Amino acid sequence: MKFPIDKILIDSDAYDYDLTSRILKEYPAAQVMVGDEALLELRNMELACDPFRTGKRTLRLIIGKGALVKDCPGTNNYICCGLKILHFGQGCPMDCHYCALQVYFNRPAIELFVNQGDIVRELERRLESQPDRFHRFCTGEFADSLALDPVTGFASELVQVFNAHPNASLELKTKSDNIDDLIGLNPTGNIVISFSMNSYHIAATHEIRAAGLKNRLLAAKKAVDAGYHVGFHFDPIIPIDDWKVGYKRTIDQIYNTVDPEKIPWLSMGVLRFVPQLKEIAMTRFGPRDLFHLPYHRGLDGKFRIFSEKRIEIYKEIIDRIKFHDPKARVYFCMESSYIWEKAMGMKMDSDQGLSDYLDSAFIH
Amino acid sequence: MVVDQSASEQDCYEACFWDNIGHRKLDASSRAQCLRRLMELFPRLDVIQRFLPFLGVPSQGPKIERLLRIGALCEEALSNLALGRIHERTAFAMSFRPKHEQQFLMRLINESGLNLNNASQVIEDLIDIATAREMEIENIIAEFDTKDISNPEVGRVYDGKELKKAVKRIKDPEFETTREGHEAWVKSLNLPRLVKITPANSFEDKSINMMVTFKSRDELELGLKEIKEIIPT
Repeated sequence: MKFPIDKILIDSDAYDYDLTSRILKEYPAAQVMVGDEALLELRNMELACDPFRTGKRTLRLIIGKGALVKDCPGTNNYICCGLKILHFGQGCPMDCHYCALQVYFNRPAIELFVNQGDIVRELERRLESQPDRFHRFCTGEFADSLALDPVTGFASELVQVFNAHPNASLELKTKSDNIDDLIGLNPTGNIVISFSMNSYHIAATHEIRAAGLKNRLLAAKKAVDAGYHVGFHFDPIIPIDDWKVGYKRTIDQIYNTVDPEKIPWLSMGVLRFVPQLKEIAMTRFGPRDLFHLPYHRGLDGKFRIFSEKRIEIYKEIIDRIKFHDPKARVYFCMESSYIWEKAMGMKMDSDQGLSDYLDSAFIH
Repeated sequence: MVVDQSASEQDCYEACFWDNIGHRKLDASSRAQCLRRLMELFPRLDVIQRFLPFLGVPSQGPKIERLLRIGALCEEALSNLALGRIHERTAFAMSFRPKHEQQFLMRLINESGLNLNNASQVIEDLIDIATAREMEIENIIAEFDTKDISNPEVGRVYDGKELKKAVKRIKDPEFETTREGHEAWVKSLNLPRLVKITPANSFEDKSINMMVTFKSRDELELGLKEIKEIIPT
């Protein structure tokens, strides 16, 4: 699905890039502003009562400066998988109620770096400078990997790069079903297309403009048929509205659709958020039940559900996954070693430990 | 100030604004009401560019919308906000509840004698419970056993401390049981006055911190020696 874009704001120095021309052709009806006019428009958008609402249909084309290959920032006192991120822009055309981007950004438009060649060059430099170790990459620190891919074609370009580098894996994480451009690229087995999954209730009520769960699953099947591995991320898990039944149903459908051998990993994370998110989301969407559960400040200052309750939730979901695939490689995103031990029965004391655990999906 | 009879409401409000803003420090409640009125009378961009800097409100971010909602609260809530009896954050949370519930919450707080932080906490917890369970706030309170949240000896309709506890128990019973269990255990240890024991933040894991205050370096060294004997590493 190609997300609708009404306005394109272009920085003066980003105008002459190939990607800029391609995007302008893809959206012939969009209002285009360049240079100072674009900056003024951006400033006006920021003053609107809900800047994000128009921002979701506005693309800002800029040159990405600074580090384009980054480490996942993780969070203090919890274990992080150490994924490296290819930073191609920020912002997302979808509008999930729980999205943390609402807090982190003060610029409402979706920003895309038009100098994708620089990202690829930085990536290749890194891969070639460390040929003896395994690297796990994903795209989009604050963006969906595939939402805008029908217009950028960045993922296809990356698949070809990773086809030539067996010492690395690429994970494309999405809530969209935009995988058609990736079909027919003969992936070499180190590419994982990962889908963010949830219960049907959460997906339908809180994931605005994301692909429906059925479509995500159909896309996962297509991806597997085209030679890709697929991952599934239950993140955020939100224990509302008969959640046990809801998540069980989603897990059953995953395993009814995809061969477990093609799933290198599944991750889980119960909803956690910085306190400001509740107020911002309430201002934008009104009161939503998911922000009114009993939360407590975790070790990193974010709101989390009581640890013993999280353990119960994780156990329930892991049990169902293991019912279908006892060998499934399940991991937690940003959890403590205590939760790892209690919910999974695994000793996981460090970021390196988790990184090795995930690398083992590709290193035998 | 002399006002021309033919002056519009807009002109009058603006004249009043400039007449007052230079020498008055507005509290959150007045600021919210003033902003709301300005937005009714002037275009949004005009308010942002001409008036906001003098109200001390940032032109970007959620603050404007938050104040606009607060400005529409019931009078009792606005008055409690002005008197510093509830936080601005709490007033904002209340703005999503119907007027009769706002009034009920204000009565509840005034009749329980809770301080600013505790009052705000109780209100926010009640709003969380009501929103998550789609209940009316009055019905949550009605579920309490009256004797559990009232205490004739404190001379108020509600015993604030007990009310706070009761609300917390409803909101997250498992967490409260753990917290109460921890407190009972610490009490059973009969700790010396200068020793404090605290769990991990929100019981995120089973680690326990012990803080000991020593009166001197000599005393600390003595204590350390004994600790090393118990925990050699």
